[in-house]
Amino acid sequence: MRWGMAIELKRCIGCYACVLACKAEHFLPPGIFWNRVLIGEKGKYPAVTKLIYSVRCNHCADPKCVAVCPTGASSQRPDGIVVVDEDKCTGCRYCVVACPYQMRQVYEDGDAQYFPGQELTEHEKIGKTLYPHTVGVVEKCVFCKERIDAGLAAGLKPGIDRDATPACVIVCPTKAIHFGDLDDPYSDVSQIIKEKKGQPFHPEFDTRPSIYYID
Amino acid sequence: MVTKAKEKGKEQQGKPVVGLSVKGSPEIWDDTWVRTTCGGCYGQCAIRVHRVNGVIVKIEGEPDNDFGSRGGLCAKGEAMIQALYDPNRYNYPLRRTNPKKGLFEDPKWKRISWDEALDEIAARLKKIRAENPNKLLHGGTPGPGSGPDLPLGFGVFGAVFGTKNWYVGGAGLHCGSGSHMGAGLYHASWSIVPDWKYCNLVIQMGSNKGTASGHSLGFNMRLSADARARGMKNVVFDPICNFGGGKATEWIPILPGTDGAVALAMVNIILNELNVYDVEFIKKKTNGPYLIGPDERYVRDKATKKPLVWDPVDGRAKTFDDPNIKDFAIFGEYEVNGVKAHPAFQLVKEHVKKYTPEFAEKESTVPASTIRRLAKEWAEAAMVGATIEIQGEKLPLRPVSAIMFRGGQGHTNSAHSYCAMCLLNAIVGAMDVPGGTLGWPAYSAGYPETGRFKVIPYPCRDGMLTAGTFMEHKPWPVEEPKVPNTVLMKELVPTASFSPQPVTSDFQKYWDNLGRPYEIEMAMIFGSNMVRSTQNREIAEDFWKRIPFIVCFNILPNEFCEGFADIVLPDCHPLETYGLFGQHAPFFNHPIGMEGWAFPIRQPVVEPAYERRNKLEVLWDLADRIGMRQEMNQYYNVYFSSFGGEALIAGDIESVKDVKRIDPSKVTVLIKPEEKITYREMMDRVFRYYFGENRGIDYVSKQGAVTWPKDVREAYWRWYVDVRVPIFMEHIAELRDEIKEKAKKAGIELDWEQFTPFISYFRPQVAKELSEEYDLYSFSYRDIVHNGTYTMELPWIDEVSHMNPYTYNITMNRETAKKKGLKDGDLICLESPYGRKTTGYLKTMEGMHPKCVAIAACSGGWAKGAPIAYGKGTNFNILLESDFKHACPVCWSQETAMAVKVYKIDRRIEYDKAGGPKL
Repeated sequence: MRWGMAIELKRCIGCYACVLACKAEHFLPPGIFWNRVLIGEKGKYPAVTKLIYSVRCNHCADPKCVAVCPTGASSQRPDGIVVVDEDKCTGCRYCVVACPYQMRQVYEDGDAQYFPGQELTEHEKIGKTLYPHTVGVVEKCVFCKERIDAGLAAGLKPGIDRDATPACVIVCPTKAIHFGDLDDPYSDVSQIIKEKKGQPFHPEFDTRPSIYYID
Repeated sequence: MVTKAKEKGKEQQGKPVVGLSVKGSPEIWDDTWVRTTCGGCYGQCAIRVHRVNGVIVKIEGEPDNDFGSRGGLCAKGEAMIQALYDPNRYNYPLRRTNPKKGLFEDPKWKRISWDEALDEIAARLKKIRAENPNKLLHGGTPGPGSGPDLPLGFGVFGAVFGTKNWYVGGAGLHCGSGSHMGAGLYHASWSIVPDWKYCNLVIQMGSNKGTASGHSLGFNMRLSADARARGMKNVVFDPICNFGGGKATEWIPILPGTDGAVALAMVNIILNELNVYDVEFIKKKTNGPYLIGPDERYVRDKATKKPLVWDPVDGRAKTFDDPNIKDFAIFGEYEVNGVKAHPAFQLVKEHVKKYTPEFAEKESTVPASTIRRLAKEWAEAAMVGATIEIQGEKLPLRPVSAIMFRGGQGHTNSAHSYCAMCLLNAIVGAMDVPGGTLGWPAYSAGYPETGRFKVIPYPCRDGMLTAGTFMEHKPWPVEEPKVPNTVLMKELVPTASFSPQPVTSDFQKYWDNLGRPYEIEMAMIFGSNMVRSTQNREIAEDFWKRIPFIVCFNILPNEFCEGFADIVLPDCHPLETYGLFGQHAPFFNHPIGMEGWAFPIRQPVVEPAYERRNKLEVLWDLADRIGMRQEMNQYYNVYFSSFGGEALIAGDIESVKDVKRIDPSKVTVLIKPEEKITYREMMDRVFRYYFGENRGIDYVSKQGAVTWPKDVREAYWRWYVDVRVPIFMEHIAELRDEIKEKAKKAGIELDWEQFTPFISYFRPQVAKELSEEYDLYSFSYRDIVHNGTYTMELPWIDEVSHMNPYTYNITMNRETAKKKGLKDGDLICLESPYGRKTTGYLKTMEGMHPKCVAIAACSGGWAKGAPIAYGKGTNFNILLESDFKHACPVCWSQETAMAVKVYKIDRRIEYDKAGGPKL
């Protein structure tokens, strides 16, 4: 089993819903993003195309971040999800530099607030209980492993059942993001990658990403 | 409905939170999902909200009905949590203690009690109502951050109070005067959408439909993505390749305000070179066969005054609705009533010959060859004559759709541009049939069990399409022009949807000429930001600071409240309160085509904190204090009954004009005059009235919506209702002389040339003001993470706005910038020929017309109570002029593009007096 994604670029409108769903899901502090939307353009006027890519940790099959981690904090689960053990992470940043996709960040400012200089909001306060973040360690997308694990335990199917599927996937208003098991040739995600010839971002980095893009 | 979570929670201890990532095992005593509707923008999508331990932690789209994105949600909706918990929110009624009003004045708020606030407001209202109710100006904008109670709250309050001065925030600027008028005339609806399911070729003119902005964005995002994925061609005319253009299969850069020229040139090629048109549609669904005399008016039957058509089989003229018509002539010359007459279609076909692709290229910069190619593609893709079977019904299939919204029609040629675009659809019959352009559902046969919640378009004067319901006065039949007596002056030009008046630089002159019939003594404004989102702030300041007493209902501080409100009343956030309609039922935001009907509920997910109150209940409290509650109750009965199918849809124009004249026997009494009920109770009664006794508020609260399938005759109603649309605008020409006469006293001069029956192209004011010195067109465009001004205060939205290269910057074509010696990151000033200036940072693009410079959203905030928004982006509206010279004479849309010169500058000069942190 290897969890993965396929993102249909024709559908994606660059609305940032995936970014904010992740923010809400994990109560991410200000300045911390586990996913992003890259906006750009290609071509010369007037033959121009806008480029929109929803990006996050690629949960590579050959993760460079895991290879360089000196403490064993970064590891890969059997289902392919790359995780960071915050108790083992020393914040040395080797992985931040090693990730060719620049998808890792250190949570540095534990006092950062969404309304600087004002009180913490109720949402921020409850976040510190439900999903505490540790200052000084590396953070990244975990494919919403808590949802996947709890969902599987409850007999749900990630990619099919909302409660077992990553937050950025279910929030997408254009249904651009598919999620499922790449090892299952009959999963929705495997099928669409095969049928529409999905390609990972920068295959030349040679890390075998689990996220595919479909033109 | 909010559970007393703590008491209930004891038994829930240790229960895992469903559908949310949780680390460790915190004590959880409340884990609840509530179905309600979003308040992030006008769209009002159905959502589910997750509350844990009494705090809202997450918002998702509602997966179980079609009123939105079926589980998805946009960023604006998700970020609503941050407005709910914003520490800057208004929590108590506040009184201004600084007597000075102005753009940058500090109100020096003092907390007061609700009684003190309402007593004072009521005393003033009472006096005004006794003297002249028109001295009360009321208005605002539905949507962002505030509830959608536009008609139920302020609409009803103002109508019962008796004031006709209803000023909508965003009039003519972010709202669509031309598009609402046109959508009403052609689709009996407020707005239009391609039939994404069947359409193969969409032409968008200044429209972001499908990319998370504007009304009905939820289902638009979902359905347009499906259409793109299956290969629908999406052609977008836009000066910028960002949101609409960014999802185009073909982006075509165009100069602002010239879309009409391109549309008419396409119509010309299709009719005169390709000879393609839907004969059946022209003959039976338009005024194409109506005979036009040499005076450019209908030739009418002498006895019945009905327009005449020529029956070529019988060889004589007949009234358009004669049951014995064998055929309609759409070409030829006929001698009728002693004059030479021609069918309107022939005249229109002749008229558009002057719009050659070469002419359109000169105006718009769109290559003539592109216009010819697209005209050919359109004519072929329209598949005139094709049919499709849906639910056993055989219907025309016209899989082409042209649409336009704010950008295309925000100019001095608004009405004609919009109608020109509609003409493209009309000539091939692509209106409210599968694959074509659809209005928001204009036809609801009612809930199957009750027959209520019913609205049906009908033929009215001259057989023309009339909307079953409308937000403003219906565009058809047009009323008679009157000498203005309201400060909006809209009664002068009955084709106007919204008015930029009185917040203009020429209002005082006209009001003087009219002998100043009265002065506005009080304004009641809800939601909107009248000095930042509507027009130039100094023009606005000059108007608003003269008003002795202003009350604002809002959830958050903004520039208008701080600078001009005497009393601020703290409104509920959409997640704290009830709401009945997602605007104006049933057509606003309801999904198109065969998407199911869904009537969603808005309900509180958390109780309102502090002393925040629902504005509708506050209005009722005020009505009690001034002895007006009984009349409001009666008005509600009429309002709700009108969607019951009896009161308004009978084609009785008198009843539409004035609900008080409705036959009382047609009105169901839901609220007895003397009753004082809560909003929740009113919703309960309305739900039961529309959907049956067992579907009261308890049922709908749980289900989130009442849903039922749509019938194919509702979805594609065009050929099931005997109505026609105007391809020849006789009524606009007919109005001209009377408007001229009625405008004399005020001294109003409009561009009379535009009052022509022929849909035409008129060069927009912005193009006339372009010169060698002021050499660029500036315009603003909607960024899809923003809506109005309130989203600028949401920290998550602020973060993603920084992530986007364009949102907070001024964009310009890379080559143009190079020629001007400008580069990315330069602080630049945009200056209009009127000396108005605004500044910001440059970001160059390839996807930008070389003659244009653009600013996203209503940014550039300066309110001290909105610290996140302060100084972010650039306020475009500073550049605009607001007067009749810069308004469409027919529909009164403001000119929203401005000629500018661009140069480097050393500081943000528009913040010189703002008094906030240094930028």
